[in-house]
Amino acid sequence: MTDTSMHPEVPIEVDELRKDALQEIFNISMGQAADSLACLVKDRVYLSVPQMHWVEKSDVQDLKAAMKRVPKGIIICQPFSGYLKGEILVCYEQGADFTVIGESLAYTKEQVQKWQHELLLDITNILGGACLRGVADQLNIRLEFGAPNLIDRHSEVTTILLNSSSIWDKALVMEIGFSVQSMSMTSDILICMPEQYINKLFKCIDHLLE
Amino acid sequence: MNRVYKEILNQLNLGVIVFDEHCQLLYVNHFIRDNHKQTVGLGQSLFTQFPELPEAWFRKRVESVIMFHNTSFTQWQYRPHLLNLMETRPITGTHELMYQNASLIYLGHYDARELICLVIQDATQTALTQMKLAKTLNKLNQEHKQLHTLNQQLKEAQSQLVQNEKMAAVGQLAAGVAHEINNPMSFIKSNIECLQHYTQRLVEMGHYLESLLQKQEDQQIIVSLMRQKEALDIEQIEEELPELINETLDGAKRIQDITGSLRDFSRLDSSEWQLADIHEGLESTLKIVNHEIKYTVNEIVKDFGKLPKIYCLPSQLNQVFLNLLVNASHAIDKDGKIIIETRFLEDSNQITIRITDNGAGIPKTILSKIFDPFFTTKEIGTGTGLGLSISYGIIQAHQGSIEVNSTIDQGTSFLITLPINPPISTSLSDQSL
Ligand SMILES: Nc1ncnc2c1ncn2[C@@H]1O[C@H](COP(=O)(O)OP(=O)(O)OP(=O)(O)O)[C@@H](O)[C@H]1O
Ligand SMILES: [Mg+2]
Repeated sequence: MTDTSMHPEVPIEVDELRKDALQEIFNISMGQAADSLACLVKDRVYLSVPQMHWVEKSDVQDLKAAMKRVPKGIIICQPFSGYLKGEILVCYEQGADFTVIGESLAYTKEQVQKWQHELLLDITNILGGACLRGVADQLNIRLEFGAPNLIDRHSEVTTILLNSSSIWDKALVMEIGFSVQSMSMTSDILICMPEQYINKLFKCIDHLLE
Repeated sequence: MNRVYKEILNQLNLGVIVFDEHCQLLYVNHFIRDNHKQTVGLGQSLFTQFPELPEAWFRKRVESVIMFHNTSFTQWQYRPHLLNLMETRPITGTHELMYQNASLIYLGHYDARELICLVIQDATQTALTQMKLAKTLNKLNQEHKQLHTLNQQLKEAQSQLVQNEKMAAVGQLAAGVAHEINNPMSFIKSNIECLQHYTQRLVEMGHYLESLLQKQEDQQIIVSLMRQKEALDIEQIEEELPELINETLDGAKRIQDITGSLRDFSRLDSSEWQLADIHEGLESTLKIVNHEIKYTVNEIVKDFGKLPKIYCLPSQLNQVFLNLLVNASHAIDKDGKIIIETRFLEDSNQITIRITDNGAGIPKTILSKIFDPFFTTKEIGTGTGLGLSISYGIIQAHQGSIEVNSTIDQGTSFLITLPINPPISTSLSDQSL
């Protein structure tokens, strides 16, 4: 499930137990998120089982190869902080239809067209909250979100992630596919956490495992 | 302690509004009170106090914030004035309403109520600066584009100038060569004419001698004369001689014609604007291109109207006719027919020249490009793609127009319209042709 995408040289001590626990926590969290999202948008919502990737920035190709697919399109990022710190990146590919999801958030058809970016920012915000809320609850930690921002209109997420002047070196990237029946397209959510917070994350997990 | 918190909230440079899940107003801080146009009363609906808030959309956001226990954001780019708060600078400010970033925060569950807090941040400065920047950037971009097109035009003009100069040089060379050939040719021609008369007389002299000899007694002499005549094949010579000389003379005349029209075509004296007869130009151009087009074109129809002389640069116009005729012949495989029509439009004081071929035609997709410099469909080395662009430039300099009409497999027709008396343009007359 995750071993294939594991980077062999990642120095972090990740034993199977912790990894499995983390995966399990995320799985549960996605399930809850999908339920509450469905309730909000009144449509069927799919969230895929998160894929864990341990990434080193110097190995762009590894992440690209390991990812289920490398989406390209409008990219929105949202920072989160608290006990853990990281960013959520959501990529909306061209051609997705946001009319129905927009209507469920009280956007008229015209507004969906005219204010698509705001709508996407809002969807991102809701998605980020939904996905990480469960994780925070299970780990019993505090998490807060910053305002989402549109950072690119037509790039591959990996290009953004692996921008050589960014400050991270190693990170955990959770890849989640998101789709709503009416959207007729899958969007991609990447939850990214730099190395130093992974240790904190595992401390929490150890707590749970005790 | 509560008072301290309240004081802090009131001193904040942020707007703070607290309400419950039904959007009933519970608290606003001073920032909101001071900057809102109306006085704010607590206990009422948020939407009666702030009618500018889009209700359905806002309620949905509140719902999602309660559901996910998270914070929702709006940005000034999309919702510049979520609330009708006034700009904080009534004197130096330029906008009435404050630009705002807002966060909708879930506070928690208290006393059987869900509490939500709306925090408003003044983003007017940022917004104004950004909008100004965007405007400037836009303007810069536009100017950049303009510069780019200007540059392009300059390049085109330059290439045309170069080509014009080249044509001028070739023209001068041709005229020079024509002149050089013409001189020896005229004495060759007059010598041949002389020869024609002389040989005629010599033949007559021969006949006379022969008839004299026939009359004398000595058969021996007559026999040897006949033998000699036969040996030298004199009879044949007499028969062919006039024909030979005629043909030679004809050839010489044709050479003179060609050199003459070459000179006409690039007349050394035609670099200046002058009154010229378009038909003369067409005729001399036809003579020049004849050798190039005669293999594919069987028929050239000259449908000439009655034209006044027009004020023009004749050698340049000839250049245009040449380009069009050569293009037409290139478009023709066999059994070609070229029609040249000229008309005088008295009403508008213009003349038209239409050159029509029955060649391959021009596909619609490239029709708009054929006047572009370097546009060619011909093989490398065959066409430079400059013919039509130069022609276009020349016609423009004459204040005229050139239009094309084409049907695939039927043929192509170019229509030139020229004013009889163009307001003199400087662009071409300045050139040293
Ligand atoms: N009478 C015509 N019939 C069909 N196509 C034509 C005709 N005249 C021009 N064209 C098309 O327009 C193109 C451009 O013509 P233009 O005279 O500018 O360049 P060219 O003939 O290709 O090269 P050049 O004249 O420099 O030797 C030609 O390549 C040809 O495709
Ligand atoms: Mg040509």
